[in-house]
Amino acid sequence: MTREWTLRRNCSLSPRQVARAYAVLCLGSLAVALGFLLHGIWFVLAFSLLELALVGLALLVYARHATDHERIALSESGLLVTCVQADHRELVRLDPLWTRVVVPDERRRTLIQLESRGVKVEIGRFVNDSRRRQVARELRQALRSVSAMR
Amino acid sequence: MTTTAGSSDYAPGGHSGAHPHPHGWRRWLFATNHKDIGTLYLWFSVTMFMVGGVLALLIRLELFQPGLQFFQPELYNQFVTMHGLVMIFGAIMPAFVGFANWMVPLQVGAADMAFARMNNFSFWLLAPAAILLVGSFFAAGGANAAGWTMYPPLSVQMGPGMDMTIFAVHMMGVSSIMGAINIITTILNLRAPGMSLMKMPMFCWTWLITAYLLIAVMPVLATAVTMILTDRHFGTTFFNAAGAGDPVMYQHIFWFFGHPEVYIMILPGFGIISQVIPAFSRKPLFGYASMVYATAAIAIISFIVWAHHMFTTGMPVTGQLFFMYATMLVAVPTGVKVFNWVATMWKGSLSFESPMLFAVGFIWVFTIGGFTGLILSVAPIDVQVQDTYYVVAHFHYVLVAGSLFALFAGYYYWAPKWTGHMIDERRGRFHFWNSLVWVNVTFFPMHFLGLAGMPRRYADYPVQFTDFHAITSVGALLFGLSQVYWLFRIVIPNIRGGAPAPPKPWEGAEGLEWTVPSPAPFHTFETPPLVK
Repeated sequence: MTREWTLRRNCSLSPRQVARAYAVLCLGSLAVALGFLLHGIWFVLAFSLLELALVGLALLVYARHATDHERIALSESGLLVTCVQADHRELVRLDPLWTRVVVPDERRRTLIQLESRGVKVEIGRFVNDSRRRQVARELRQALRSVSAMR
Repeated sequence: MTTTAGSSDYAPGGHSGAHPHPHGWRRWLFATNHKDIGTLYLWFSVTMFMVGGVLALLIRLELFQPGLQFFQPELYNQFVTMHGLVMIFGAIMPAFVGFANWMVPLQVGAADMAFARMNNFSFWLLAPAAILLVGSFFAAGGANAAGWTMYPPLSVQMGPGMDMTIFAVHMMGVSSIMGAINIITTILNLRAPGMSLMKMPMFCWTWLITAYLLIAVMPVLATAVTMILTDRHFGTTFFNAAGAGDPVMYQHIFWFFGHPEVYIMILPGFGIISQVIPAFSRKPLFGYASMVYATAAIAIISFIVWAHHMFTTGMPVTGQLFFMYATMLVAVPTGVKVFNWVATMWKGSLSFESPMLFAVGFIWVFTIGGFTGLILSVAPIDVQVQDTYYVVAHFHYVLVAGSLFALFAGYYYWAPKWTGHMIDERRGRFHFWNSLVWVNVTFFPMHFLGLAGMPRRYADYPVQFTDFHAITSVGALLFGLSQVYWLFRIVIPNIRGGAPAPPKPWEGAEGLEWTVPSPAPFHTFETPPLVK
């Protein structure tokens, strides 16, 4: 049996939808700028491009991280931790029998630490402290039941 | 499988307390919390509202009787110009951004605005801009006296006060753009799971559309004032006919920004009214989807009506017809809104607490302003009353009785959530009735003045206009005093104390903001709620 926890950033639009919203904005703003350009007033285009670049940058920052998540899958074959942040994907396989779960410190708001045979992984960066501690407790319990079954 | 979508409070490096609650002046100067920044915006706009109000009363003081009693026309023109600029860019726009900062994250279930540091910067840009604007009175030659529209050639000829105004307008524009970016990103990306766009509160919808409008037209304003700047100092002659330029071109550029700007100042107000009326009618909004589409329609039409401000500058008859009919078209989506509000109240279980009083008052007085707008859209009529007090009456009915009343409705509606205290209803009613009576005493006679031919932006007038001017001045003074009462007898006492407000103080109110305690804690929705 496999148990899974997925912790992800809340993002209500997919990157594709954000691109569409940005395209609508660009269309409106550039249509205005183009109209003025046709009358020889190029200032509007310059300001529009500057502004749209800023908006695009802001949306890009969000879109790049729209699908960020951490997945922790516990199965008989091992504890698989997947961390996806922007275009960076990290996959770590830990031995559940040797994994120690460090419950985050409430005051210091640290991440959950998984440690197994010298390999350390930190998880829980996309959720708040209470959820992190809840996941840590559930994970600890699940690991305990795995070791009990063996 | 367990899935959690959240917003993090993780402190990289394990520093104690990722978001320590700052105290003293640092809390405000380095504020990144949306509620603190919202509060800053609201206080800024109240301050500028008082500055603009004092300028208005100085204008009314001079106009109380014919003849020049207190100020020379040059100074009077500075008062008129700065009153407009301060009220538009300093009071109304920041007030709505303040409301957005406070309410958008709470309404969409987000922990904060998308870009908290940019939010801080966009607010603090307003402070130097306001100092420049108000400080320009002390520049050589005084403040900008070309009217808030800054038409050349006057604006090209003025002293350094004009440069200070241009710089201030640029900064306020940048601040507005950054605010718009933040609002768009927050609304699009940070909605709670389950809150689709068509489930969003109307206030968020109207602000999303307003933010799109801001992004579309702010480059045009920046262009207009930059071209004046280069004409003034860098040898260009964009607006100088002697150098093959065209002063009328400025008017086209300015009003292409200026007319959408009018909707920027009213659409979020429509959003507030669309929240308040269902709450106090204890019924859902009559037609949610039609309200969303009407808001979008108003925003789109606002781009094709600008030249109705310029009927008298000379344009072909076909041009006049186009802009006349396009302007009339605005009445359709606006009518959809007004009928929607009325239909929401129809057979509702109504109660008239202060927010509802202001909302109903808004519908009445805003509709008067809307109708006079419709009358002014008729080109032959507009030619007769162009630049008269009829126009002054029209836009004050839209902006004071419209935007300001909507802001008051929003204030009374959400203040318990902000301060944790209920507002003294008796005082709220006193404020409402005084505001309603005096706003009409102030601005209704202006229609008669305009129809009789009293031009705007004049420090003196023939004796035939004395009575109406005197009534207007008395009304303005009492309207101003009503707002002083609001500040000192309602706002400040409400911050200091009062009956504790429950999380949802209004029986019929709907929305995520009412699920958090009152006052809203410093951090809310760290885990986004699930909307069904």
